[in-house]
Amino acid sequence: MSTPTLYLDAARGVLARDWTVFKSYKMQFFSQIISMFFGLALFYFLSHLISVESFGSHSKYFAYVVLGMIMVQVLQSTMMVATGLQGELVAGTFERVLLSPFGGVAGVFAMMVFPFCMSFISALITLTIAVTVFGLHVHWQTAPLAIPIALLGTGAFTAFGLIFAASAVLFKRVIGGAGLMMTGVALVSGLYFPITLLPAWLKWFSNVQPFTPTVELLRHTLVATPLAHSVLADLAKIVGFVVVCLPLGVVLLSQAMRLGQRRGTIIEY
Amino acid sequence: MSDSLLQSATTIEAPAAPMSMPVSPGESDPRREESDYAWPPLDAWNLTKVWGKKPGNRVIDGLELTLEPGTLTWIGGSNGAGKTTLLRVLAGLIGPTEGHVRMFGLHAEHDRRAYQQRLSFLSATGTGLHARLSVRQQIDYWARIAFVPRERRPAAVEESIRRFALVELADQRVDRLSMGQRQRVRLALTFVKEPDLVLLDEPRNSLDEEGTATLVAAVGEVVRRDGAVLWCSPFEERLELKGLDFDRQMLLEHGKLRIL
Repeated sequence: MSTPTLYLDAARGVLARDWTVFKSYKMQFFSQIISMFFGLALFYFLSHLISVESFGSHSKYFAYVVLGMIMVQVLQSTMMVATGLQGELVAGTFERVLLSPFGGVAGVFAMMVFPFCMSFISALITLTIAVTVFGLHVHWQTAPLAIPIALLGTGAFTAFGLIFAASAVLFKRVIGGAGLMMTGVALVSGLYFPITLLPAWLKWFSNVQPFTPTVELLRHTLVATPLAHSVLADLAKIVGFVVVCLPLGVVLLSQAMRLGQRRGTIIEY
Repeated sequence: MSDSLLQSATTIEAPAAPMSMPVSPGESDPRREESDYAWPPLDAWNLTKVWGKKPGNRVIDGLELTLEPGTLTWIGGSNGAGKTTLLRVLAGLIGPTEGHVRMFGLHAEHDRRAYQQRLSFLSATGTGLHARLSVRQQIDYWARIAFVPRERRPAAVEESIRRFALVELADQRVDRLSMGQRQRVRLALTFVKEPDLVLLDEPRNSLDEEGTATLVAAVGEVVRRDGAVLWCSPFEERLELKGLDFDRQMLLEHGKLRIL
């Protein structure tokens, strides 16, 4: 068997493992859907309560925030690799990955696949509920373009997942950091409100991460929200983050593992 | 077992020829260029591991160890003697502070993939299993990440299940197994890829007589096909292991090995 086939086979093994573990908790998926439903209902009624001039109508704010909610799900899946890794360190199962020819870095990459797949499925379900129950208007002509944008965005978010995984290897506890990241991104990326409301010094942060352009483009393609920048500018930003941050994430993770192995702390938790 | 082997395991004798040429990671290794030098399954020299910065935390201290093909070696020691640390260093899980380890001439970091393809390490902790996977799923998962080729994998998994008497438990979730049964699963994971070098840390943990017999049979198989097995357990277990035909028995004391 060729080397790529062996790696692919191993990654499929990790995916199959995560799927088996996920479906063994029977209520997990249903509780997630119910939680999504309540989240949508909450913002649906809030959108009726709040009158924002820049949105024009309540339904436009609801459409705006639905995409923000979807982005939060994707973000959570990014963070899950670090918390998952932390759990594997405690369970001693990551030691097996390290002692395999597949290795720690490839193992972490493979561990990201299932949460990402689940976040895409959750996003689709969220959209379906928003359309069928809450009357969200999807711009069907451009909606298919959301798929490549989401994939590109995923590449950029993966880098953040890798950096968090590196933190889990070095510092062992990442829950605080993940929470900080989530709220920070929600604040500066325009997930729940337009970034035009932010003070100038905070707006700077909106431009130095891939979440703002990704959510902007997704909104534009799915619910026809007007763009603050051109499509090309947003795309260039996301590609730039992929090109710069993804290799950086890989380097940081492999260096963290190397350091952990040299110190002997790699399997501590 | 030859005298030179005995000497290589002691710390009081002068190091044998292969051990006199320390090589730093990244530095070219003169021995690799010597075509007449056949690397043994395991060769460790000047091996030192210090935890933290205190000199008192020197768990392994200039240790020398060579395992020849087709041999079974026992290393004993009291609790905290450094057996687990030694095995972790040999397995490439953690790096040594000083010194070198080669497995068939491979370096744990530079040749990581090939190194881990030929080595299996059973750790002493009762962890390392995914609680929600069945025994078969667990072994199949590990066989995949251990790069057991796809065409050989189903047979290897089933053979492993049979060899460690797990047939009736194959579809049961691991968190529903007893400690002894879990240990047999861990043994099945260790041997499923047919390793050439096996490092065992207290492998008899929780095993009954039948479990021990399956372990001994698997160890014998590795030795017969010219692999090497290093078995570590507390000193007291040596008496219980009399039925096993160890080629060498050593004691780890103060970071060094002493031949028994």
